[in-house]
Amino acid sequence: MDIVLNGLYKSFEGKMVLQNFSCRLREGRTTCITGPSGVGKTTLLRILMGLEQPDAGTIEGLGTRRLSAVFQEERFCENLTAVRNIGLVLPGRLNRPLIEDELRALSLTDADFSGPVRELSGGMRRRVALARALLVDYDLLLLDEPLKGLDDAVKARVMAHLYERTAGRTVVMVTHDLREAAELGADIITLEEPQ
Amino acid sequence: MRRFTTKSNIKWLQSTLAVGFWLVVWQLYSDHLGQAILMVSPALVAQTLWDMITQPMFWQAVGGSCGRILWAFGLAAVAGVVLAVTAYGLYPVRALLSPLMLVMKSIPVASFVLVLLFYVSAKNLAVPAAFIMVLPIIYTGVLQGMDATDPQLLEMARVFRVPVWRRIVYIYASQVLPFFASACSVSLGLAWKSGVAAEVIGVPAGSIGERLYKAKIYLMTGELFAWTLVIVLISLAFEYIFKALLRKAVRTMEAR
Repeated sequence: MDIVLNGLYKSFEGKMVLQNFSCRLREGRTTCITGPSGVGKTTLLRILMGLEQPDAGTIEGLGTRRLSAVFQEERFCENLTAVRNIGLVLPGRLNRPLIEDELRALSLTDADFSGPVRELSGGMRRRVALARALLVDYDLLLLDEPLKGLDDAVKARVMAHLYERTAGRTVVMVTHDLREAAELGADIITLEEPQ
Repeated sequence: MRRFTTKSNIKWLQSTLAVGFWLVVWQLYSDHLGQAILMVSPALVAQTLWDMITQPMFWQAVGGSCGRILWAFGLAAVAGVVLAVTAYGLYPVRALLSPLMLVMKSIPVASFVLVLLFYVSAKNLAVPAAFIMVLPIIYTGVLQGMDATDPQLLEMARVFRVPVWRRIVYIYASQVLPFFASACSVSLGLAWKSGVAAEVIGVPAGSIGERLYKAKIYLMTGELFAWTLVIVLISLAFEYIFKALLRKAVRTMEAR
């Protein structure tokens, strides 16, 4: 079932961020949200996550979907390792091999995930956040610039993995890079400054 | 070239020199006065302390006071955490407790102790006195820690539907622990100060307070100083042990 956003309005302290915004997010497809900074891309994701309420408008088809996400910030427990941070959001006992396999698939090495996440570089932290999002059992995956801070070589490998892991799933991804959207074969929605 | 001094060695040397400096000042002042009844020398205090620790009465007094004060500290720590968690979740509870905690923090120990004498036997007076001193500090510290919990982590937990017990252990506890540790560090010292003050007023048999009181009325200044030194050393020892236990608890929790 598609997710239909109809006539959404959202403002913060008098500043209009979303104005009469409508779109359809197709089931089983990746939709990329693009547009200049400050036009409400992250706000839109936060509304889909249920962390913000629109001032007006309706959302159909969201229901009780299980969500997974890469936030704009990584949002880790900084003293824990990458494996434990991911284990924190997964049900049941810590499945270390499963998590480590996912991290390796995102070009991280054993040495990268043995220490606390606070010791990782920006690009590594981004990949750990992506691994966490991909391992969760989700119905809707929301990604806020998941490839930010990755160099081109790593980005290509991560893109390929992301493409493979999200095939046939419903994904909404915020990106500034239209090439990423094209490589993922995604629907593209461009947000513009409210009038 | 290999360096033989490290930062921690220099720090240790500086601390030792500082202690040595004040011991010398103490000794010089004592020599200058020349009246042991007014100011005993550090050497005499050390000698008195050595004589005291060989007597069973010393250990009986230390054991009795330690038991009562630690019991009060433990009770206050548990009550402080429970009340802070409740106040964090329920605003009316926070509003209700706020003036009470403010009053408890502001009222002098002696006033509390004198009022408590109407209700509690002299033997156990140190328990409520220390409890009342420790409770508001732990409560405030834990509540501040919970208020400072990273809202972004809480949002992450909400989106991923992280179970409540994991949120408590990994998100709240890790944020609150530094505040809790700091509150405990401060309040352990206060527990000793207030507990011994209560014992000096109530004079329960077999307590440090009783020994201090007797040293004062019989003008045994050497014993008075030695007991004071004992209180300081025990307080520091407990703080050290407590911090070590807390570090171990954090490591165990993070390794789970």
